[in-house]
Amino acid sequence: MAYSAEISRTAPTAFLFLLDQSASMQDAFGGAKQKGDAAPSKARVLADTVNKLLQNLILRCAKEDGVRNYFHVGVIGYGQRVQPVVRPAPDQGATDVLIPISHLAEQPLRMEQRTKEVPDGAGGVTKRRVQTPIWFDPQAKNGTPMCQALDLAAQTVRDWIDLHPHNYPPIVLNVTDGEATDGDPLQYAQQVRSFATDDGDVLLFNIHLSESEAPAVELPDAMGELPDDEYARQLYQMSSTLPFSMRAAAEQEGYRVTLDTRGFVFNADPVALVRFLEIGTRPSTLR
Amino acid sequence: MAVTVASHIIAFPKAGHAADEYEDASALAAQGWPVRAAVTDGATESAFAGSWARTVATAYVNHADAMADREAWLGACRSAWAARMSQPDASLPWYAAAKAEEGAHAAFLGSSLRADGAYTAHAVGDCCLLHLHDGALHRAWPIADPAAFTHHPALLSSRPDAAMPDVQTTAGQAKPGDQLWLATDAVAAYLLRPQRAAALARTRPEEREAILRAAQANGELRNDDSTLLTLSFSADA
Repeated sequence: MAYSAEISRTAPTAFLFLLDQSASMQDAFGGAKQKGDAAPSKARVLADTVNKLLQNLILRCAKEDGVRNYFHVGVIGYGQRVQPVVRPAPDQGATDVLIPISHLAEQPLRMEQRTKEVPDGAGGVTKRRVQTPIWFDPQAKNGTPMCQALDLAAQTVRDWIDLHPHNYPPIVLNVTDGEATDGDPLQYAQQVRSFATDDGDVLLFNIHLSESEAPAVELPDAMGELPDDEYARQLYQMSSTLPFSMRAAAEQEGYRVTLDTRGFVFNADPVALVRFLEIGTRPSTLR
Repeated sequence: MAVTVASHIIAFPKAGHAADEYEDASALAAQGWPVRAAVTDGATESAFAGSWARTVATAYVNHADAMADREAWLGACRSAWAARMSQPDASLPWYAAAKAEEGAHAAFLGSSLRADGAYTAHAVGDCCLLHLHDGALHRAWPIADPAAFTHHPALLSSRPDAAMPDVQTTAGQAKPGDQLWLATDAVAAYLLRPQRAAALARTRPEEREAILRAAQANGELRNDDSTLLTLSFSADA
């Protein structure tokens, strides 16, 4: 499979996020700098991570004339319910779950003032207040119906591919602590990955937020690189290998990659996973 | 002996995009010696990249001593660009304010050619100068390997607080009959494959856009904004 289709407004691709909102996400995140009671919950880290990923994706598409619809984006939460957590846009050639990214840009839940460190022009940094969009707040309730979520993802990408059979295939990003409570997610993951456009199979990447304080792992190419954690091993097995173009982009950023490198991140910042999708020349400052 | 320079510019956007989405730029000052030419490539993921690319290219050809005081040149580019931009304010959507804050970015190549054939060139990033002699590629600078182009070249930033990147510099000597071609990255990568520059040199300048567009359509030329500014240096006895 080529994974070489040009991504443009006439030929967008799709990002579908699956967010674990189960009760176990209330537990502390092991990858944080703060430890013990001071550590943020996995649910907090998930919300921050996905808000940042969406902001990053939107800024990549933002031009002087507005936000260009290079991507259709969907978000499915799974916990108390399995359901889309952003509203669909009617008549946009998208599915009920995947909406043009410009619509997402226009409807954050709210804007928050955050402090950001920026260069001061004299070799140092200075703090500046910036408006930051928030789409999700932390949620953690009930079990982890990951299999149901993957099943809804499979239906969603299948419907989207029917409308866009020649485009760059959808990318599904599952953010979880790994503890599925409704079956074996591996077979559902295989179902998601079995759909394809002319340009390639659907890509499923997993972002594992764990209580474990084991060192972070980014883009492993063998089970041996993983911490001793059954959920990490399972999520690794569920993850697609990176296609050639993403491997090349990862290599340019200094990652060591092989043919077996998988789109899997353990307790690490996953922004790189969406950055590897090239839509053109990018200033290195745009992260 | 009278020396002259004939020029030709090819410029078209990536396939699937409208002409007004083209974000490369070129500029030429050929009324007297030295002849100055520039091509620039605005970064896709910047907003206002096309405007910044035009600002940089134009400022190079309009200022004979642009490269003698690069800080002043870049400062003038930034001031000219900022004057044309609306300032970030509370009424802008959050993403527009964030993009305005990030500024625009462009790769740059400028070349200055004297009547005796001596030339200099300056580059930031991956726009390329191709020197053709006897109808064949004699020299490519600063990139000669078609596999060496990446999505992350060095770029000139419109942000007032961004550092001046390293400007690469070279010099050379053109003989009557030689050509200097200034190309943005996709065209350069295409022309650096064996025999392609020579094949294109055998065609008339007005035939070349169709050839490059066909190469873009069949995938030999990467789908990107495409710019080729050619200077033909000749002498009449």
